[in-house]
Amino acid sequence: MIYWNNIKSRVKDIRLTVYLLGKNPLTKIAMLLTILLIVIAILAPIIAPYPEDAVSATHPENTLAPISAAHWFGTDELGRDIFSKILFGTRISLSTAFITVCMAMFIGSFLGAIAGTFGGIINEIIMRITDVFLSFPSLLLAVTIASLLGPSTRNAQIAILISYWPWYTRLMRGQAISVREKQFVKAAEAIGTSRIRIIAKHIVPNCVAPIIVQASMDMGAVILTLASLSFLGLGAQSPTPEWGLMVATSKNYVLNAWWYSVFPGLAIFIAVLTFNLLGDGLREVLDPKTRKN
Amino acid sequence: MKKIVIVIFALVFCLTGCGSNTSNTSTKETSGTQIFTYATALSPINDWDPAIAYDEETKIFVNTYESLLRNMDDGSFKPVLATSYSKSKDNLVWTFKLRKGVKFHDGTDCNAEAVKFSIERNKKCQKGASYIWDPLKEVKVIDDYTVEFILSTPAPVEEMVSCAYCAWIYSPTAVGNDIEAGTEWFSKGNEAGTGPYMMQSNEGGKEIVLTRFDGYWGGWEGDHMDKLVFKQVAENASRRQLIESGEVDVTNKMDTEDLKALKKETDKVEVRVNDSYQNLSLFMNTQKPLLKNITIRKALAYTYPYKKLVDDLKNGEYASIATATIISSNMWGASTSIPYTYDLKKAKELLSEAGYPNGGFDLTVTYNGSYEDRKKALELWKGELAKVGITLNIQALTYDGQMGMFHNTSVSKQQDILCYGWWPDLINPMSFFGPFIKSNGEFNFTYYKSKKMDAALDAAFTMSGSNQKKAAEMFQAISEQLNDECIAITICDEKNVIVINPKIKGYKSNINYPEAIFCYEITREK
Amino acid sequence: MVGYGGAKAPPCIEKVDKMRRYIIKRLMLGVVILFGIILITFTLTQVLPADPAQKWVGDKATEEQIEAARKALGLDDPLPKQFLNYVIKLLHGNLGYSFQTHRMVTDELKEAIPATMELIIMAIIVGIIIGITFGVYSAKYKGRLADHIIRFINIGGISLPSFWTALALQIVFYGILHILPLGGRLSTDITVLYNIPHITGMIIFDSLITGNWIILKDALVHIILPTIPLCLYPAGVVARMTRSSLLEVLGEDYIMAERSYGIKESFILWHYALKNTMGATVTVVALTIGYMLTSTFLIESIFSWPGIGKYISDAIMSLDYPAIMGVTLFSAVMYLLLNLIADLIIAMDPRIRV
Repeated sequence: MIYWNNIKSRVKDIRLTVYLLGKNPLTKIAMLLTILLIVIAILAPIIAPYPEDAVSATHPENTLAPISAAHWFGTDELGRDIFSKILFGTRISLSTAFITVCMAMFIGSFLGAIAGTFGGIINEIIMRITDVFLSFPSLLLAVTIASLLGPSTRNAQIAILISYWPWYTRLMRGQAISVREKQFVKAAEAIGTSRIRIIAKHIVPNCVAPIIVQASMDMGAVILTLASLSFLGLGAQSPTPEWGLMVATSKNYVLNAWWYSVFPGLAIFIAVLTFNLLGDGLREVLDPKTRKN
Repeated sequence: MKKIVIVIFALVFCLTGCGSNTSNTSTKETSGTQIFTYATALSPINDWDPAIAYDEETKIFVNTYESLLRNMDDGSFKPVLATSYSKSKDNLVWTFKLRKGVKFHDGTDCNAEAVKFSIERNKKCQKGASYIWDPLKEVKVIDDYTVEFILSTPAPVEEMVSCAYCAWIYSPTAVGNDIEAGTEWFSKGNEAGTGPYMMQSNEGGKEIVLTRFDGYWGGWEGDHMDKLVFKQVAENASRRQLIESGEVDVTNKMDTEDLKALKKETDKVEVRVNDSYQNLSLFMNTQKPLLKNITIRKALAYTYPYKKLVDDLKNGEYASIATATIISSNMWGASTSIPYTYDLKKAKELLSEAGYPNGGFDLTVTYNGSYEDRKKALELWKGELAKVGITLNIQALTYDGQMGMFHNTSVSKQQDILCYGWWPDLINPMSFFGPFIKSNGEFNFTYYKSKKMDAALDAAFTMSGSNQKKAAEMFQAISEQLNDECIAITICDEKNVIVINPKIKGYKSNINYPEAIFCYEITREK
Repeated sequence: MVGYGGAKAPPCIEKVDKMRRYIIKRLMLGVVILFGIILITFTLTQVLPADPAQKWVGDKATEEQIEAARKALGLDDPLPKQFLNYVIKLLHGNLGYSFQTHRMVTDELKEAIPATMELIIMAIIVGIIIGITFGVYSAKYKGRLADHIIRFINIGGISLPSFWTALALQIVFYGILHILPLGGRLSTDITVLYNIPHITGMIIFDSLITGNWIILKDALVHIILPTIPLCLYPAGVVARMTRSSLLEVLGEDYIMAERSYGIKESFILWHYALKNTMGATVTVVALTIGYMLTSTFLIESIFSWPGIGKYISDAIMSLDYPAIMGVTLFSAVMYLLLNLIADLIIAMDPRIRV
């Protein structure tokens, strides 16, 4: 009975959230674009006019061809269709963003919840470690770790994961501490509920909102970081159709083929912008202070 | 509040450190100074020690250092620090008469002692191209201006003393007797040569300024450049901008796409396509289970699109199809034809013969990530291999990364195929076969070991010290045998393309000193 | 230390006490984190894929030579001893030797740091100017189209990949319009023909105080393009901050009072924008330097700007680990110091809210 009421109120909450999200035109656009990006990522092999170009095919007789009906975004230095490559690149960027952010979220939140709930020396140790990781500017740690692991998409993902988990720990811990002070949690503690149950049933559900906001903004940041790592030569390796790598390669041909630099960069921009707007909109809506308005 | 702002800015300024206060508004030069600028794609200097340098340093060293002879483009030898020479009947003693009145940049005399010092140090260093001095037993000083090269076996001494690597003569006074200390001294950006230009300044090895050496034995009559600037501009687009605008006078290693456009701008630039001994090869690891099989190796040789590479990626003119494996087709002693062409049908047949009718396996190829054109050559291949069911994994590594993988003692951790470009140090087929084919070759990327081959190579090399014609026949036989064994695929012979300001006159390319310009001989048209 | 609105003595002293305790606690935290940073970088140097002993003796070395090098470099020592050596070396300013150039990393950093500092300072100045301007107009036209546009530009600005912006600017202003230089800090002619004053290493500052107008002009022209992609982030942050703190201030009573006195609206806006936000802006900017520093990794090589960013992106190309670790350590310590300073400033003057 209690659980059914719980679910009902949660659904009401979510419906209210969605309604509020729709009120801001920018957020609406962001949500549409997000869906569009996901669709592109899933359907890339079908939508792309030259899917084999994104894997291994080359057409050296048609290098750096300008925009045309056959090639909407032109071709690259080996005659591959840039439009197809960008569509396939969506898969790489989105999947990296999703996997990395989810893992960072889980690992970080888990640690943060423990730190916040158990307090004491566990808290100290976890938070000091978190502080040390946070003392590196974000791209720097990713660069260092990726260069040590060796350039590859997999290693870049690991490097990014290591850079991003601390934020969730800090966030979760703060939330955990404030929720812990609340009446109902103190009541649960008083009747002897185990710490783990408290974390699972009370703390986590109440911290979901800020974590979601952080996660959606981080999606954009991760896409940008992956592109930056690939741009430096530390992420995806040729001929993987990753956006940042395409911009890096385009540097060599920037005077012969402006389309080669512009479109992949535009893809990065739109993807990052989408998630930033989404995160911004979510924050406006989910933040209890601004929600009341 | 204001106080805090000032404090912060002061802190930031302090962090940048303060050097000595040098306040001068004076100019360094009078206007009218003739400056010649060479923008290089790669770092112009990796090793400052002329005994060790083994890479791009030639461009700078041909202007700061000199050797006994210079190997001219037509194969003849021009006297530089040596004025004449002769060899004994048994080809084991070569006598060189040295030029008088030559001074090093530090003021000391260039004489027989200096030559003996330099050559013996070059040999002792055991790095870079040191091996070219292996046949040398000792350098004997006969008098102040006469030296004898005493060999243990006949060897092509003319090529050795005119080599672009490890044959420069430098000042014993400046360098000192301790080899390590000498290298240390060089690495600070010092040089100690006799050449027409000397070091003026050096910015972290990336921008090097040379200035006239007033005491140069050739004198400065007539029109000559006053200063030479060598700087690395890694970005293709930047180099192109600089050469088009005339901000630099010459650049190298331009991409085909840029060259296509530059060719048309005849008022701004001149594109010089020079023959070279440079080629690009794919060395197959014969220790790997699949590549042990010669049939598979031959199948791979038939999958490479040689013509597409030359016609499409090199515009038909910046490279040519190789007629020999491993050795440059331009080198004497190279075979004149190879059977492998781009023939996917034949490749599939051979693969079936070997038991892999539909391919179905992976191959990893490593290449030096600094070379964009090699990446393209490999991606081209990837597409073709996919057509016969083979997946090619292309790994961009640093030079050290490639070597590390190559030296790995566990076969499974080694690369399958190594993509490497080569140009000779000694102008002799041994410069190709030695490093790549000999059992103890430094770059034996195919892990090929054959005592018979080692002996054959040594015999041919020794013959080149006395009878080049016979040596050519011997080397050619070896070359043809290597073609048959198919341990490497030479995908093209490359040309050296220099883009130069049309106002620069007097530049003659020299195939033996690739991409180098003897700046003493050039002038700028007003 | 300023008291708060006519407070009585005891609470004031209490606050000072609290603050002092906070400062000490914060400094101690800083030390702990510094230790953590050094520990992490040390751990990373231990997992380097390259063998430092092999690198030291070169390609043609024999097994014995490598072993000897290993002993000489102390690579056989137990880890704690190696860590101690590492820390001692750091205190002497020894960050190792670059694999690529064989020079001391510290020397190369010393050459590169002023160039990046110059760029960052310029980006901060431009960012603050743009940011405050946008913030003021955003607050002035709150809720209307201009506000939305500015906020969109804001988010757009931080969504732009900085390397893309840099490339685009280069294409447009050098490739097409030919009005700005391709890259570098100075033109080749100027470096060859003139003696560049070298006091702080920041050419603009040096030539300004020595009166070298030719060099100054050349340096300013060269710094324009690299500054633009770099200043977008601080501009965005400052704009947002200015807007929100202005909106708060504008609701206060004394503003109404000033308005009723007839003081012009625009004067009020600019006066309070500059006065109250200056302190907060400085703090925020100190924090964005961390982000800007890593942005230089992406931007500098495009413009051949010889700073830390180009240094590390070149080092990455050749996997020159000592150089990479050197920059990592330097950047982390810088970031730590700036955060520390920012936290202390906030502690000393709580009027600043981030």
